[in-house]
Amino acid sequence: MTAPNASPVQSRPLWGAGKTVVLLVGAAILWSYLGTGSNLLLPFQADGRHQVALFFSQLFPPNLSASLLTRALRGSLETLAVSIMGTLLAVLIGFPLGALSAYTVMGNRRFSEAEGSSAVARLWRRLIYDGSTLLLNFLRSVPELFWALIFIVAVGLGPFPGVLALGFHTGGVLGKLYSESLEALDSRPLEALQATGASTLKVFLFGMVPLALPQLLSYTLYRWEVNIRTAAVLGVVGAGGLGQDILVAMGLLHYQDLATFLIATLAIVIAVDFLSTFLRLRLIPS
Amino acid sequence: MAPSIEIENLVKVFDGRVAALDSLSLQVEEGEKVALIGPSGAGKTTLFRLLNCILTPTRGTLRLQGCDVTRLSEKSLRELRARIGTIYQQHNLVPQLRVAHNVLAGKLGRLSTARALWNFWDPRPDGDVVRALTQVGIAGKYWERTAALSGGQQQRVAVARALVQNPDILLADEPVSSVDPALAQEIVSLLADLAQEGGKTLVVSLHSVELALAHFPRIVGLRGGKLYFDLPPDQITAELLSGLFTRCEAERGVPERVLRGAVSPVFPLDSPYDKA
Repeated sequence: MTAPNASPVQSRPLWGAGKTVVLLVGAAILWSYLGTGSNLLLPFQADGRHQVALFFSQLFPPNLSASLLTRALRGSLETLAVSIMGTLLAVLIGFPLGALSAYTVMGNRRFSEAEGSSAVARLWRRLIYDGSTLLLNFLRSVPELFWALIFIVAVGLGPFPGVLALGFHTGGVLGKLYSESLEALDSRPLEALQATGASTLKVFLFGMVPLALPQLLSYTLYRWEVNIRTAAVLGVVGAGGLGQDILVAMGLLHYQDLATFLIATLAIVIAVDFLSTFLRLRLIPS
Repeated sequence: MAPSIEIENLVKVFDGRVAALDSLSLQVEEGEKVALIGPSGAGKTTLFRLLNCILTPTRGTLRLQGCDVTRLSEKSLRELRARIGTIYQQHNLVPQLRVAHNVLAGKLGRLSTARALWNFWDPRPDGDVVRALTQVGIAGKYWERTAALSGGQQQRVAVARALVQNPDILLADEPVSSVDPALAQEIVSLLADLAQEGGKTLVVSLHSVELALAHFPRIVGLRGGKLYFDLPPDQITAELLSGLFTRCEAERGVPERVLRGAVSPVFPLDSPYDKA
């Protein structure tokens, strides 16, 4: 069918999808660079160097007086508490919604084709599945900072709106991650459970949860690490903790106090990272 | 008394293309012991997944204990599944759970959710589980994590789960393909004895023709989704066996795991049921 001396290898198209993508991405980067007035060299030029040096010289020495250290400690503990409560609330929101938005839990054809469920039951499942997916999407799309501003209006200043803000946003994130874990499980043990006559709830409790648990724990610990940093930032808008202390110190130009608070933030973030790694090693068998 | 298993012109097509079972007809009476043999891709696993009500027939009739499986409500389907126990090739336990809990899972079809949760929580040994584990010879592994057990030990756990379920119909899909020959012999005789004592219907697919011929009064040969023979062991000749296991041209090129029914029509699996 082909000419005897025609090469079986077709010549490469001169212009393909790959080149278009590279060009578009390049244009987007250039546009963003110009649009943000970025000058990556600025901190290293003579003027920039001087400003950076001045700022750092004002930070030193950090204020280590007993009263300030007590404040820093109180702020750190409050931030830690906000991160723990926020993550706990996120699990309480994310786990049920994540389960309800996993098609392996709510889908009409799970491990078996044979289901025998009525049309009304299938419609209900569909509604619950879509509803919880949508709700998770919404919770996740609103950033923590916006949630914090909303809750500060609703419940007043302090650590509690911080907890609610972390819980709502992270709940949306964890719910999504949980539902993806529940959807990616090995179906064979689950099929075996279903074949014993177990209901979906029992397959979920005795099959899906233990199978997914290592991954669920891992995601939760990772989000806790993220939340300790976010909890510190949330203080800046008035949601308690170290962030609030940092904001006040900057406003009053008390740079040596600021240095202490920054060191405290760093210490607590590193401490949580270590604790999280330790828990991961202890709780999650490789 | 309705037969345990009644299959008439059963057809199972996956993805609208591959017929894993092709007009199969078979009847198994209550208390009968049947061995299923045939080459890879003959449709054995698909047949088992139809028999334990995980798959639904594309065409044809499948009646279990007189119930037409396509006409059952969700609840009666679960009740029927509770009366059918299945032992798989491998990988059908929850590795994170303790042995006790995997065996207790055999009771899930009969217990209320609250009762099941309590049994999983309560650390006292359960009488049925201890008895089943003793029968398969690993009572000492009661509180062990399932993932820590060897392949052969896990297979015994799977047998113990089926014992605790105490079904009327016991299905075993190559239950001994992952254990050594001595243990294979032991497990197959254990299954045959159990079926004998309890008057249960037993259908076992076996890789090893010798095991099938030695332990079962009825041998069913399956090939290309069709019945190849259905005979007592003394009528099975070397010609029949070589005919059964010679691969025909038409089967080549079809992915083996599709033919075997190892690929779920709902979830694509990363690995086939067994790579042996």
